[in-house]
Amino acid sequence: MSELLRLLLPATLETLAMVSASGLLAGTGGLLLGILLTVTAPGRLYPAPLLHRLLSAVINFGRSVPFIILIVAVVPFTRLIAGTSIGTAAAIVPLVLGALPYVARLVEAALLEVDHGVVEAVVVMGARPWQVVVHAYLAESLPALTRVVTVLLVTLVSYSAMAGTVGGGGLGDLAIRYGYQRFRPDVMAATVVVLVTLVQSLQTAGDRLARRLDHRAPQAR
Amino acid sequence: MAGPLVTLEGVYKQFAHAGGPVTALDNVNLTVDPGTIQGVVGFSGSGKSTLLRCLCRLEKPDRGQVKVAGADLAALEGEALRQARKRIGVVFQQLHLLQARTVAANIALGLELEHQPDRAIQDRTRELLDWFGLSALADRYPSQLSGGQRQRVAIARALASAPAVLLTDEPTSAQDAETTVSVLRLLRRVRDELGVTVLLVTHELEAVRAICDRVAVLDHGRIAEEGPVSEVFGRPQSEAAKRLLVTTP
Repeated sequence: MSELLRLLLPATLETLAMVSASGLLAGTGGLLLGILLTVTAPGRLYPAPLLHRLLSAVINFGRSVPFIILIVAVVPFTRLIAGTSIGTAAAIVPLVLGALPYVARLVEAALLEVDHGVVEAVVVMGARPWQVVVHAYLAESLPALTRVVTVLLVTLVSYSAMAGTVGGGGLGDLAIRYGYQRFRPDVMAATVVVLVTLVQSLQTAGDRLARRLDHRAPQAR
Repeated sequence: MAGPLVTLEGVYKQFAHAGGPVTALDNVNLTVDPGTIQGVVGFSGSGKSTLLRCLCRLEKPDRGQVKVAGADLAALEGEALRQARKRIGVVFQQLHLLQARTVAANIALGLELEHQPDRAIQDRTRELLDWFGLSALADRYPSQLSGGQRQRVAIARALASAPAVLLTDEPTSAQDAETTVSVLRLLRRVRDELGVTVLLVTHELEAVRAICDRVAVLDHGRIAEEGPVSEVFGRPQSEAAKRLLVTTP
């Protein structure tokens, strides 16, 4: 039991470190990209067809690369940023790059749900561009954005398992090295239990927060 | 203030459509004196909504001037446009209240955008809540209100930054008879007691009869006729006005 704990505890902390650091970076970056994508779309607040198309193409490109390939492909870039291509800190680089385009698309979808009439209502009040983004787009889609963050974190938990390939550590890495390669079903089972608990808690907390932030009529949710 | 508050001069607006360009406004001229309740009526597709959208610069006219309280909205951009917009309050047909904000916070938004001091925002919001009989609903969300209450919030919000003119788009459509009466009465009080000029865009002639001083009949993007309500509705001169009076109650 103590050996299990000795293995699980650092692995869990590594997973949490990878998920929170990459979640923060990919979340912030994805939010900005998603906002840019939304407001530059044709017929929207600040139409910029060229920028919109370029951004859209780059995001699609990012999403079309399978994560396991992305990890290997960006190794030179990882080395440039993190100084090394091995370890938990290095794993954060591909995690952010992999999650960023997904978050951007999810944020775009959330923001597009905001009634354009509400956006116009804020514009005619004399709002500056950033005020329109904050008070109309972001404030009105806060429940949906909370769900985006939940999906992001849950996805990062499973992505971080693949980051074990580059020595990223974490629960997924532990499950592969001990549970699979060293034939330790107990480690495998314990890892899965921790992962399931982690994902369930994230999802429950996210759902609860989203519901609390939602002030729309129940049938509109 | 001397002279008209709102002046539309040679306003022309065309939209690109799949079947070729559609002219929504075709050389529209209209003046509204301060303190007037001006009606704008017409069949759907006559250009009423485009006219309202040009008046708050949600649409930029292709040609012409849209002067509100001295500023030509058609020519302004950026900061100057934002300042000019504060002289205009808009109540949309769908109201477009912010669902994430309480009644009080919806009303306060315009003042928050101007970065007014908290104290001033609170005082002004309380004043408006009180005037509109919304004090008891201050902390509710729009989803918890009736249609009539929501409409009052929308009007209060539009008046927060003390605009010179209030633009209302079909305020009586999709309301029951009782709400219609109270909304019209409220708009008249806004003019009488707050001194705000009101522009009422509608397809319901009954609403115009009830509160408007003057009315403009819009037809295919042109103003077919404009004058005091009693004259236009009593002795219509244009074909468009006659058709409208025959076909709508």
